[in-house]
Amino acid sequence: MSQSAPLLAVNDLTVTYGGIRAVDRISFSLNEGELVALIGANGAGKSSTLRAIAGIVPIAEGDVRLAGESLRTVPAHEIPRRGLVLVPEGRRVFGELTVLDNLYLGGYTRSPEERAAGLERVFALFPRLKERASQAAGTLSGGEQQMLAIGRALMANPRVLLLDEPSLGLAPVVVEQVFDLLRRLHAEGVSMLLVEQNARMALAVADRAYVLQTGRIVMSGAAAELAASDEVRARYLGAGRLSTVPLDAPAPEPEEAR
Amino acid sequence: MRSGIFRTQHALTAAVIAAAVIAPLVIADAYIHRLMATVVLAAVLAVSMNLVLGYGGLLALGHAGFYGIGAYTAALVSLHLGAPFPVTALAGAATAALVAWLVARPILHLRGHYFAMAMLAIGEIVVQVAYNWDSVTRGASGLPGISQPDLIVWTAVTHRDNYYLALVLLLLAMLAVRRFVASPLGLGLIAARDDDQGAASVGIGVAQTRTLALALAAGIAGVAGALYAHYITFVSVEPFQLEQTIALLAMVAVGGMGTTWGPVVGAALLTLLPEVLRDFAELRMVIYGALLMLVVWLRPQGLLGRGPSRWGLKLPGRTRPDPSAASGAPALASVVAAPASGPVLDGVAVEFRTATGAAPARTAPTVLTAPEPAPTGEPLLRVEHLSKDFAGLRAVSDVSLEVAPGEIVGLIGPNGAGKSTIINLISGAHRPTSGRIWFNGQDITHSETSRVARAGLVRTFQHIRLFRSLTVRQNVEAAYQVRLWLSLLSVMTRSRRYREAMDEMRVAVDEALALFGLEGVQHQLAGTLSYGDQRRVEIVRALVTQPRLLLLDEPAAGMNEAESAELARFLQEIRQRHGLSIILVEHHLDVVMEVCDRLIVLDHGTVIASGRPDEVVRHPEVLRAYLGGSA
Amino acid sequence: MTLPVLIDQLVSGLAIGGVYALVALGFALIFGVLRAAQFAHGEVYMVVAFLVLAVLPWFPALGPLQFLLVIVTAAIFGAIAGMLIERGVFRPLADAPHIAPIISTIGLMILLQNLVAYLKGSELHRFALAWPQGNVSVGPASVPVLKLVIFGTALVIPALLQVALTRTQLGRAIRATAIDAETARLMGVNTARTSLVAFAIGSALAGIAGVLVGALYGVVYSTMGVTALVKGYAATIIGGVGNLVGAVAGGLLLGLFEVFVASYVSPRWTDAIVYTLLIVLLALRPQGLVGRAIPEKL
Repeated sequence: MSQSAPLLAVNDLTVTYGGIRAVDRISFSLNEGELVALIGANGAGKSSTLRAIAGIVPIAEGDVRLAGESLRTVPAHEIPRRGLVLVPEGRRVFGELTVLDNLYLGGYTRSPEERAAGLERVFALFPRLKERASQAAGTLSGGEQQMLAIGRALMANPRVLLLDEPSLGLAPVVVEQVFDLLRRLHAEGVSMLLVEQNARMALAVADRAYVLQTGRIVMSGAAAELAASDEVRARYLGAGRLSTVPLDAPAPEPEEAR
Repeated sequence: MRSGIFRTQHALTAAVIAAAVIAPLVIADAYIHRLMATVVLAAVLAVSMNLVLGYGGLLALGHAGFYGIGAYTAALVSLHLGAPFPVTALAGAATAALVAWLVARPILHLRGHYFAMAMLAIGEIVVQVAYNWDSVTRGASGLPGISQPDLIVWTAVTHRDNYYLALVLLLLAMLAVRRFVASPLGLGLIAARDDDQGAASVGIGVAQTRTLALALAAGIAGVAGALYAHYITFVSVEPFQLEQTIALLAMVAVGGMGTTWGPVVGAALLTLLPEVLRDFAELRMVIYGALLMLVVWLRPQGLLGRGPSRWGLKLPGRTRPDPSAASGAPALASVVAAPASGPVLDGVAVEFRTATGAAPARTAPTVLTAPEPAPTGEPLLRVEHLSKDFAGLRAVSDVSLEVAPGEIVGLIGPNGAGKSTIINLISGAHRPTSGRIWFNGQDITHSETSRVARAGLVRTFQHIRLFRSLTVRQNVEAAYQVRLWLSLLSVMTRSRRYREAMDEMRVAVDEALALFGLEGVQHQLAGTLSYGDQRRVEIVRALVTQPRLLLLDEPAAGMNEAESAELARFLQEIRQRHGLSIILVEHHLDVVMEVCDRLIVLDHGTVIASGRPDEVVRHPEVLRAYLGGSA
Repeated sequence: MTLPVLIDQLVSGLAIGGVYALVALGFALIFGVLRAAQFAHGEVYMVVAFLVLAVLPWFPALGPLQFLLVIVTAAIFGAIAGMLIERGVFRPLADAPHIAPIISTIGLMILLQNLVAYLKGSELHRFALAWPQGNVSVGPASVPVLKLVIFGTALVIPALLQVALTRTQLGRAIRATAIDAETARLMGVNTARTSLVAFAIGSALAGIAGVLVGALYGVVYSTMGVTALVKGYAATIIGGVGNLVGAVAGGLLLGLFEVFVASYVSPRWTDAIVYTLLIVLLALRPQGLVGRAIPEKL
């Protein structure tokens, strides 16, 4: 395989629901070690794109290639074996199972030895999960569940990690933790494709990004450039209306804080 | 075009009825007449079961029991009092409806298979009582010698007479079910089937509506039982057992649940099938079972149910479609059309515009204005020392808060801090472990969700809970019914007051839909709308009940910053127009900061800070627990 | 009431309760994974009992070993029947409305009942195992060994199943499929296979229950499945839908209840009383006896 071939290549991907084209012939790529973000409004087709790549919605047209091999006809449960894992929207941990069971399921495609090694890595990354290993996953807080969902995906030791709205419904302090984690995984060289409503933070961590609108890619480029573009700022960053938010303009440290 | 289809349907109905009336006159064969009477009687039962099973979504596994109660009551009244058929039929209907009404009370809050089991148990109890209460029912030997249906001026003697009697009963039953289902009560029944929590949240009395439907269905089955008793002139337990209920279930499902004619077609098919297969003797029921499976395989939704058959049916691929992504276009169009920097009041008009048709915001119509505000100085909502334990875990601990009329209060805090639990407690979805909740001077601590909603306190949900099988308009109409007090009698007779109320409702719903720019999609099924339009329908549905206080649970979840900015403008707008108070649970700080008069911050179930938004976000505890150390 | 009588009734209740427990456990397992009620579950129980009866003459009389052989055979027959039903009835209706598989299995129920009646007649057929025979002393009472063995079987098999479901990857995969099939597939679980396995196990349990009840009453007949379905359904509900431990507890409780009501209240009114109590129970505990009131996610 040539050096320059992307790790994940999406060519003319189309996803339809009852005749409606949710995703309309989009093409993009993800290189080894990259973090690429897909941003856009609700219903732009971001989640559908990820779900089609992971095989849980059918590909109507086009192709998805992982390291040169087509995933088009590969059933969903075979895709983790090929090295691609999706962390679904809304975390979707198995609430009635223990944290440990969840992690073991994440390593379902691997040998017992690999699972043991994966468990060590995940516990090193998330010491909190180790403390709560025998607890039912449903009793974890939202942030901990998101960590579990990501840890569970890492158990498969994927070559490509897809993340669907990892910040959804989380408190700002937890959102920061999630993005810190993404930075850390990125530094470790994990290749990631990130879908986010929180465009500001997504663009802050990503190398490159694509902007989706009604199922089509309307803009793409380096994340920093997109973040500076007027159009993106107006449409997806709500420019000019956030002056009161501490995340945007940090408040001066109050007296009583020390 | 619509009325054309309508006329065709009416003509078809008239033709079917005419054929049913003329057929036995043309075919003078007592065997055929007997078969026809059996079919029509089964159809009456199937039609009544369809009300509960098809429209109510309740697996009524004891329906034959009500048929039995009607039959035995009529038989006993006839044998002991010598009453004519109209009296015994009424007695049978009343007894069956009364038993249904009584047993429904404790079991109607049950869900799914729990309800099915409770109904199965009721059916079994009826059979056991009939079988074992020798002194009254004569047990296994049954009650013979019941008079033929005596209508005072005329007595049904032949099979054909009884057929005509059953046919009248069938038409009346179909009319009654039709009227019920078309009324706001029926919409409430379907709404509760689609989403019982969502229905309760807008004030639909789920249990009450289901009780009415069950009682009506039982009453119809009771009349059918009475007719059966007089027609056969003998009753014993066999026809009322579980097997009969199962046969009815199959009739309704094979014909098409929740359709007008489906149960009739199903009843005809499954009653005649064993007769047609008579030549196969003992293999008859084997073939019957196989054919039943075949029909379900070919048309899982029933013969008259909506949707494609398996012929030419393209089976779904790797999974079922994702409804949330079903139609992205309209939502996006509204976002693109909205200039993020537009003036605030203009923005509302933009917000209300849909892709399908633009409607400028009108002046506030009368229908949506809230009732008179509470006396000044009194808080609208007062929560005192509220606590809630789940299996020993304290989710909410000694929380007190107040909301003044017209105030928007933000409830923020980390995940698991107890925000949603507080919403659930205030809205009556959960019961508090201790503490009190006062709304508008009324103690609502132990009120059910629907009562709380009727008092003027309406919530929305983190995950949209629309009634998916109803249209946008019907969603709103189902919620509107909380402003009406409809009796079953007025619905059945379509009294003048009822018709006037319906006219008022139409006007009010038209206005509400127009205000939100939804009239273009009003006849679409709610589940097929874009995310943005679904959120809009959810809010119209809540507003049409004329609430005083809205509880919004993460309305901006899954919205980007531009979309949440629109939402913020929209919330301020409805507050201005309707004088509403709002409690907003939200993680999108931009929304919270922009619209809230006051913030309450929760952590680990307790209030750690409250006050003006700009003060609260600088509070050190809030920074530590919620916002993070970026400051 | 004397102690020996009490012990005898207790053992009888636990034996029939054990049969209900196995039926309920199978029903609950299938329901949990496929989210669909298997209304022909009782017919699997009946058909397997008849099949085992047909092959019984070829079984060597090896005492307890023969009993074990009967159980294993019943499990195999049940599993095969279950796999055929899953593939033939449930798989094609996976995307149909919820009522569709219910009606289809009702059709299958009618078909199988009448087919067996056609082939073998609708009368009672004698069903006897060479082992276990005789009585054994339990304290002051002498009770049939058979009843103790049935109760024991009904405890051991669910315990083994529980271990398999919690300690093995396949067991985890089955539970994950029951909770959220789509996410399970994202983990690499072939959910079509786990559904099939769950169905096979659930039907094997029904098959085992079928031969146990045949041995307990000494007869099998073509309509025996209806009672099994209703009792198993009731036991599942008592235990709490989706709760496997609850299904076993519900079955045992139902068996005990029936025996004691029949002995001390009225044999004639037993069913009416048990169903009334069931309604009272549901009115008081809508989530079943063992089921926990998990606050619904709103």
